[in-house]
Amino acid sequence: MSCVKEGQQEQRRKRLSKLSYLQGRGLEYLLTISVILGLNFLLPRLMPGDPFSYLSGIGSSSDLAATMDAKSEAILRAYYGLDQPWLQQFFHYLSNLVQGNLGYAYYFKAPVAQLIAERLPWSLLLVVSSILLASLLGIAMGVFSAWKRGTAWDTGCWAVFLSLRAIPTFFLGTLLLLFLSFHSNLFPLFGAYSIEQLGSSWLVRLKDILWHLTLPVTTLTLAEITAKYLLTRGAMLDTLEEDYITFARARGMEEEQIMYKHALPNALLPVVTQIALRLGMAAAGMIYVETIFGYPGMGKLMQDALAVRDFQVLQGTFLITSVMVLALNFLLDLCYVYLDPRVEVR
Amino acid sequence: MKKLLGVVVVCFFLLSILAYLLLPQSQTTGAAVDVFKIAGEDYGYPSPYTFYPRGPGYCRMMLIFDTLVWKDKTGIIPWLGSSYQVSQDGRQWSFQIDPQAKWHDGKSVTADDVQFTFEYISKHPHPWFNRETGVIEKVEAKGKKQVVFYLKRPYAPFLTNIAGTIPIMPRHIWEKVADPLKYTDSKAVIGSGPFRLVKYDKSSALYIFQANPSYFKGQVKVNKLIFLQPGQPLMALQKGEIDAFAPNVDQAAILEKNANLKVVEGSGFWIYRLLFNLEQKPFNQVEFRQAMAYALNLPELVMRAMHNGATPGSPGYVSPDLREWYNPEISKYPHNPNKAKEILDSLGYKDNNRDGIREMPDGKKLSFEMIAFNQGQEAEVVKNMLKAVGIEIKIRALDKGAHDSLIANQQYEIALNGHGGIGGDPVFLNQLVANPKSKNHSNDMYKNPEYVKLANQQVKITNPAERKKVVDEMQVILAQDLPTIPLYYRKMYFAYQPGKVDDWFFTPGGIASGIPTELNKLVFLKR
Repeated sequence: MSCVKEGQQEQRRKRLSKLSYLQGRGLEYLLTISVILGLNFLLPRLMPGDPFSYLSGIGSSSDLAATMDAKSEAILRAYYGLDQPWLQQFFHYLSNLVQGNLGYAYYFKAPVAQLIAERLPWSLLLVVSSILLASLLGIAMGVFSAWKRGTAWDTGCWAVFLSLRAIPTFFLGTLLLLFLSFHSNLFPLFGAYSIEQLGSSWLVRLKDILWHLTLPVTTLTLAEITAKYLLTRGAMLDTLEEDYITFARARGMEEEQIMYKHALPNALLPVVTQIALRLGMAAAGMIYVETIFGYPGMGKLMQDALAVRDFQVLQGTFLITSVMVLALNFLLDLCYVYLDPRVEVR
Repeated sequence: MKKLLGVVVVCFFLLSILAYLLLPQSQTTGAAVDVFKIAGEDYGYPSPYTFYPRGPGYCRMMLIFDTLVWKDKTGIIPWLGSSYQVSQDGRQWSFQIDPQAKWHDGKSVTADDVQFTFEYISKHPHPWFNRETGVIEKVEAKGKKQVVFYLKRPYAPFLTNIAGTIPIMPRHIWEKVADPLKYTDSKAVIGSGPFRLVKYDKSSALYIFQANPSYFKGQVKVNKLIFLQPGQPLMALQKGEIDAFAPNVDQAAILEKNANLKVVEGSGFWIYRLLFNLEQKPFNQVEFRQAMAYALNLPELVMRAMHNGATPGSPGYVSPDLREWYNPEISKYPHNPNKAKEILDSLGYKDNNRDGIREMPDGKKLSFEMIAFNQGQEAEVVKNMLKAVGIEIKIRALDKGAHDSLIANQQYEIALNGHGGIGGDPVFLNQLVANPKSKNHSNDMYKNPEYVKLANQQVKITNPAERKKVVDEMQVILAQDLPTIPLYYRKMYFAYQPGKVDDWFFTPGGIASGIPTELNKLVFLKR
């Protein structure tokens, strides 16, 4: 009886300690977000370059034949809040954030939330599907390679994936575009959808979107796959050296069973971590792929915002990316606590 | 696990193949005769206050809106103002509004709309349109169809830079708009122009314009004009997925070999030039700047850095492409390294220690830092050409923002800078001197009193022949003084599939206040 009671108490103690651990992690994340907010605000402003010159076409790169008069400039600077001291701008930024407002883009002339909302789904669709596909294929091939260690199969896979890694993404994308679209008409040359399908039914549009997605996803999958393959292969090889695997073999278990039931679950932890962190960066888009395929996304928005020093957009996109990385990190922490018995909470 | 993996991979590829099988024709059949597709980037919502402050943004907005006058291949032509007159003293400009002109919502364009536009712009500063409107004392509508501008003083660029640049906005829509810089309602694109906007997708840089069936200047040739952003426009044009795009010089060379395509060329009215800190020795010496000019081989620079996609710079600043305002009778500096060396010797800048770099009499080396933004080979070519005469250049490559910031604060010895704004009316020559009304004096180091006097004079002379004399004289002074050395003027190209719209041309001097473009609305009109 007392043994049962002790067991229950032990479980309760563990649950509480896990809860307080998660609370602690939550506080850490809050602190991290505060630092990120400060950095998001400061970094764009520390860059040389006056955002007003891009907004109005003044200064040494002006494409206009006449200069702006000081009165108009003062009115416009005040309108954009660029005449305020940084501290005031920072409080304004924070007060907007508290109200769920990411600000209004100076240069792009639209609410930042709207700019992000128009692009984030495309980026997530592209990057998440590529990473998931690359992870599945990479893990499968990594396991296969480790299984066939030292054989021609292993060497062949190793060589193919390393060669893939050596090809720059933009070159790979251009090759795919050239052969699978330009010369063979198999896939569209650019965009996320056909203009001609704008008024069609959702099923036709879905097919159209998938058709447009194929080449960008293939490019990004091929670019991402090697990291997953190498990580899985390495982790699997380490795991396969463990005593418990030797013991399982000695017990006469089937090789396939050893691989998938005993080795893979343990080998997967570092791979899952890498995938989760990579997924967190999905909100940042993939600039090369977006540029080659004329695909809408966050990468190009961030690059354009940087070029024209649109602070509001930079702040908003950095914040979304950071929050996504943190959120996935937090999820990972949760998974580790509950799924990996080796993670001890003190 | 294996099964799941297999299912996901197979599903993805099956879906892709299914999508391909079901939709292969949708791309190729879309381009009907009444559709014209041009590749381009996002330049903002094409409304007067929300287009991005770049030439292409203005051009798209001007497909929807109209100005009082416009430009064709020959020069200024009447537009919304079907006729106009100027008073003897050059201070009153009177326009008759075309009686056929209508807004897209069916209401007539009136003189009152013109008066409203200028009053609205003065109340709500616009990054572009306010620049020269300070010269207007008042605008008065006289009846429904006549409007008169009263100027504070005669202003020569009035017709091109004000009447030919500022889009007329409908009072019945804009009078209720308090914050025009955030006005992106569908009513913000109700204009009087040849096209209406039917779709704008910022994230895909997609614009779909529909022809205005009752355009007062005639029938619009293209039913649907689409701007979209392919990642590889060169491939897209060759494959027929777009009808036109503006290639760079290397792409133009490839496309020119394609018998099924046509390429037109024009001036970009974009100058790449050397700037000096004119208050620092030896840049404060005219002879030193002239020696530098002799040391530079501009045709070779154009060939090596621009693959001949530019016109070599004229020391008088004005591009030869700006035909009527260009003065060929100015000091010239053909490549002559020996002459450059002679001048440097005569100034006492000699290479006494034989290390290949000359020294000033006080022993200081002729070694300078040159700031440049990350673009092309120009900086390297200039560096090597100057090194050949004993001037050492250390290149400091910067991102554009940092580069512009240093120039604005005059924190440089030599700068390589590129910009537009050298087309249209020669009022741009006044940018080289300080503007007392502006906060920004990026080029305000040129203080030759004679030049400043002529700059003030030229904008007041309304007689073109008399003005030309003054503008010629300004170029003579610039070529002699060389406060800046123009290296080249970039060319522009436009490639298209013939058979749909064939009258493409680059408007001489650029449209409006000098914006170089092939996108003149006249191209789309049956005339």
